[in-house]
Amino acid sequence: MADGGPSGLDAPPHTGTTIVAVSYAGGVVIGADSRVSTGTYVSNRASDKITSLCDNVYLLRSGSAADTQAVSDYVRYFTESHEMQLNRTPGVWTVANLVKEMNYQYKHLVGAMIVAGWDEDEGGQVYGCPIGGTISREPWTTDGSGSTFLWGLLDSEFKDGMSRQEAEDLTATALALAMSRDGSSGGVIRLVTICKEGAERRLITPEQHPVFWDEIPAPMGMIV
Amino acid sequence: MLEQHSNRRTFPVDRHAGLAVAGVAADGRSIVGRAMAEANNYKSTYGEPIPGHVLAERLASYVHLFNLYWAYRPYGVASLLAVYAREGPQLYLVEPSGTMHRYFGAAVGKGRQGAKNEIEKLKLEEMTCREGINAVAKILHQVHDEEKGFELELAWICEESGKQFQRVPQQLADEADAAAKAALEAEDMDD
Repeated sequence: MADGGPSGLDAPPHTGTTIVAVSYAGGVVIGADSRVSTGTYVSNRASDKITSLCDNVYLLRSGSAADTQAVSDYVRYFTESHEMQLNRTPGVWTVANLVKEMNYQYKHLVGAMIVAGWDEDEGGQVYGCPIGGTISREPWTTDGSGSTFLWGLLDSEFKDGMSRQEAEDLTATALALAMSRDGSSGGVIRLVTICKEGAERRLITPEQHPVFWDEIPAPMGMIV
Repeated sequence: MLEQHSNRRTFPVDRHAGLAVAGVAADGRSIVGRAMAEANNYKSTYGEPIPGHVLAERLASYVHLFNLYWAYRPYGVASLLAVYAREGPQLYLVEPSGTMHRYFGAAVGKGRQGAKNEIEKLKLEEMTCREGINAVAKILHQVHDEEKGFELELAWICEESGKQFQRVPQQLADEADAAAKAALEAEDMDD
């Protein structure tokens, strides 16, 4: 494996991953690939790297699968308790802050996460919560091993105030490109759009997503 | 012989919140310390200023603690908590029993009965903060023994103070004090 670690079945599960979050006029679109690898073996080709922390806030996970699942469980619990005491929907910033706190206070965690959602006061928001414990609000961001292929693309193609369709298309295209080049990313594209009306999930299978240089399109009925 | 400002009864708790206490002064300072810690802890964890009802509940539940165990005596203060958060300005009263309620007008301390009567006569929905300090000054003068002097301490959280806890500027405070005395003299003359 590229990181020099074990590449057999005794390697720890590694969410190789590409995750992308993009804000548009009215909300945010978030997307992830679905590959989990144990060394060179794909242990799960259809995992769900998008978790809901509360009705209006979602988490994209990359890095250690175990660490990010643990963080997600804790933050979901904290957010639920907080919501009960607060008596209103929590702000996206508040939830993102909780994720950041986990990363910052427990520095051994390897969780490169993105928190995105919609709230009444600020609308659609995207917060990067990388390893180490920083938090930053951005109009869009990407993380995971596949993100290296996307910074330039998103710099070039992102526009402020896109429509929902444009944002979804951009996210899906970005993910397809990263999955094409990054060995640790692949499978299906999962998208979630969060806006005032709530959150809506979409699944894009390999037959449906765009195919790039050197790629052989997946034959009908067979998902690679 | 007491130096001015050395017997504080109003305290900032966070930028957007303040506490006024009546009762055992030392207990008052202690509860302010707790309120500050709660507000700071909330901000650290959730990244935003503590909402009024959350701080009030935390303080009430803290005060209540001291009614549960034989080794502690109850808190000897009633506290008026003012918070100006996302939900707008809010006023809470936390009592030594551990109960807390939200009010539009409240009074604590020795002269509270008289003060409450006067507050009930006010049209709070129509009042501005500037009118408010005049009203407060007048009520405080009314419930105090005219022979004995007292130090008037005014603090507010409003648009004018940038929605932050601020001791009312000396000039405004003096004006309110003078206006209060004048108003009461005028009323005395009418009688």
